[in-house]
Amino acid sequence: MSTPNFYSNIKPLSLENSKTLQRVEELFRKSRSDYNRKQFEQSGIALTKAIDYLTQWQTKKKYDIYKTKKINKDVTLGPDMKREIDYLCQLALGLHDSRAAVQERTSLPSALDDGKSMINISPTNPRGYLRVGKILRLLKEHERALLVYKKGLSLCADNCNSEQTTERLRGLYNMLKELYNEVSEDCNIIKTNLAKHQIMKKTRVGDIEHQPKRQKVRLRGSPNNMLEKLPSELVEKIILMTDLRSMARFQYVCKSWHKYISENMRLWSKMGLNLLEFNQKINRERKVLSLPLRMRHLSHRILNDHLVKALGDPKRWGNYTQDGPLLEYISVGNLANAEDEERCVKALLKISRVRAIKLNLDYNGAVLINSLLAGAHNWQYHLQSLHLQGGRRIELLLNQFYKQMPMLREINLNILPGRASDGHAPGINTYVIDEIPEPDNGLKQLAKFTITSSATELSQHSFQVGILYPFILKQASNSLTELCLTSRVFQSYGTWALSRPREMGPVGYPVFDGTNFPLLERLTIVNINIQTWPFVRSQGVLNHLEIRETTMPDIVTDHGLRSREELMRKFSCFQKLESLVLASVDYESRSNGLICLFDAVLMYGDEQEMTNLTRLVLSKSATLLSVPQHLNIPLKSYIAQIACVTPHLVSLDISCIHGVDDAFIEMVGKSWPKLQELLVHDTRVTGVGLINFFKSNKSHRSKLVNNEKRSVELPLVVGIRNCDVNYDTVEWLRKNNVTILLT
Amino acid sequence: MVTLISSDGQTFEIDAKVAEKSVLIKNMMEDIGDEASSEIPIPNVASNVLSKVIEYCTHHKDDPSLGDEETNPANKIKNIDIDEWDQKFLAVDQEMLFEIILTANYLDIKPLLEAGCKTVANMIKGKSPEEIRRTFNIQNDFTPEEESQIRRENEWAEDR
Repeated sequence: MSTPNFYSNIKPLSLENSKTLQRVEELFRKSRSDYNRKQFEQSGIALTKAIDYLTQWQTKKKYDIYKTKKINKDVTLGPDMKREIDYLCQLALGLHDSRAAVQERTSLPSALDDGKSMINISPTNPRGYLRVGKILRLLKEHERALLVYKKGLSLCADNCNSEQTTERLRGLYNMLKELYNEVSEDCNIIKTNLAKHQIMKKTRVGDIEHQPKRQKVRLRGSPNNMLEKLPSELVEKIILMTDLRSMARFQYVCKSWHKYISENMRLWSKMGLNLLEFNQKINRERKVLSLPLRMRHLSHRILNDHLVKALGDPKRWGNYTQDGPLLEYISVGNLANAEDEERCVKALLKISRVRAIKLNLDYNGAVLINSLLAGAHNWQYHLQSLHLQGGRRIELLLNQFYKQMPMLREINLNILPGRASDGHAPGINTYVIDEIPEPDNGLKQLAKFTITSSATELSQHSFQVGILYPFILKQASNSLTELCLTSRVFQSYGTWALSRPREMGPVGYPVFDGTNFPLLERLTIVNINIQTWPFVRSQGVLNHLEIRETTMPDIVTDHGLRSREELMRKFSCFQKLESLVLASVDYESRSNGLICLFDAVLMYGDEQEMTNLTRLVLSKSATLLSVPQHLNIPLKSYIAQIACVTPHLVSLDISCIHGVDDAFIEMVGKSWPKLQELLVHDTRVTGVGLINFFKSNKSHRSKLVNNEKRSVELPLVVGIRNCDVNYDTVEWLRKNNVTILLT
Repeated sequence: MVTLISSDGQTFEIDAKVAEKSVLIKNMMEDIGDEASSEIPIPNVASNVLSKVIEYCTHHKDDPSLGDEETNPANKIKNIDIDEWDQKFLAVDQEMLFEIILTANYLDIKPLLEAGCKTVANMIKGKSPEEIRRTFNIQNDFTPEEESQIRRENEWAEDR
């Protein structure tokens, strides 16, 4: 920014006490100090306000002059008035010049607008031309810049009335020369001309397009887009009045919103700041610290500020490092780069009294291992829940420091495979763990273990990553209640076995099956091929079993089962199941494990009902249709058989199964009178079928009520996305208190 | 008394106290003093908007002024809710609402600007992208891939 020079221009006495001008100057000063602190947007906003004030003031002045002239045509402008106008002109120039300088850093086109306004305000002052030329050069429009410089020279040539102007004029000439050199090839001729003619010779150049006066014209693309209707600073103000989550979601609205929000660093930092203030005010009592999550767009400095403020400031959080209250939850993540991550982790490590940490590391888990290893002992007495997300090689970290955290009850890993850019060439051997830890007391309290691989790319690392699970699971086998293994990678590489991983480790590696998890209540396996059943011998309390996108080992051959009794014994673990999800699986042959499972469940149920089962999800699996076909029994009796085993079923999901139609759900309605939720998204079910379903279900239900002598009149829910259901049916369903789900 | 002249030439004669709700006009009036005419042209505000803004200022003419936002941090936290009269006052179509906000910004009427922005913020806060699109009549110009990409990047905003 050039030196503000509204002082150099002597202020007329008549304006000495003007409040408006005082305000303008105050704003100007503020913008300058903002500029010096590198807060360009702030600076720009102050300048805009100042320009508003000045413009309105000038409008008023002009209006007054206009009125006086109207009354008395002979009135000429007194010297005072002239001086005033001059001064205001200079001031306006200064303001626009400064704003242009600010906007050179943020938005070149708006800077150009300001430069053009300068030329408009004072066509004989070189300042405007200098500014416009500079911006054009920044825009790489050298030709146009050249024209502007030339025009400036020719128009301002006679205007050497002050030293400053002369200085500027010289600057203009130098710029011109410089540019000539730059664009030399094309301009050789002009160059020689210039040498011939001297500086001040008037070189009439074709008029640059005459710029219309700068107006606040906003695009009116779509009728009411606030982004287009309001200036950026107001949009920002509005967005800051919402919350961080809302703001993040605004990005999905359309491209312009996405651009505005994702590229506006200040917005993120301010929102983060608000969040911190909010945390300070409100969450202090709840002992929750949630750092600005989205730091990708924050500069190091701002980030550092936040961290120092939030974590490092002993006044604010120091308590949590000593004997103060326990912090419940810290969430830090999505940092801009490895350095920020490191800085952030270091700050985190200082806080010892924390119960749960969610750390989202994107860049270099490997680098951070050392920091974490060195500092994690700080957490050891209190940390109960550790959620590591996105970090590469964080699994190694866990392997190393599990011992340091005896209190851990919950681990949630979200793994990305290593990248070549991390210095670990993809390959099967890069993740080999030399030393498998000796079993000891680490992780003996672990109750919940979730591992998700969110990577979509193929990776061979998955194998080696897999080595760790058995170890962790072994350590925690007597405490684990929840196990969730989800992957996008494993299946694509091959299979990962919950039991003896032959390819993975030495013989004698801990073998896992159901007996290892006597307390397991929930098991979720998504997209991991299972070679052997991990739970068949479990006598435990498993109540939620979820298997998706998976193929299964053939129970019969795998276990060498000979008799039906044996099979039943194997599956006694299902007795307590409350929720069974078998979704998105292909059934091609009888040997498919899932069919075996399903059959086994039913066969078992022949003798004893699965009394707890209330939820059955079979979406995208054609079991209900393909099994009877395979066994050559009528569908009707097959469904009746299942219903007989699961009399208390409340929720049935048979979405996305091609064979499901009206007749099918009618059967379902008759078979499960207690059904309260039926999801038939993306099937051939129609409105007629639905009404029949509810009618038959209702009559069955009333029978049931009579038999059991108690009321089971409960609301019904039905999911019918992409089904052929007309409006009348919807109305009918609504009238009968049926809730309709479309998602 | 002060006379404001809108962009379409309509004049509004209002009490000085009302006009002073606008910091811009207030400063200007102090400058003018008594000697000059007290007609103030507001060249970028149309009469329908100006009359609305004057209505606001008239209703609030006796409110204590808030002082400068920057110098008084207490103001930032205050006014989380819009008062009832303002809510009704701002229950206008979006076109008008935006015009009011712009005018409040230009004339430097802080409480009105705050209330206006707050009103818009309430229209979008916690709303789904689809709802916002409907509110402002915005076309979703993402391809499904782009949208899911952005959603992935901002997954954290969805959970919890």
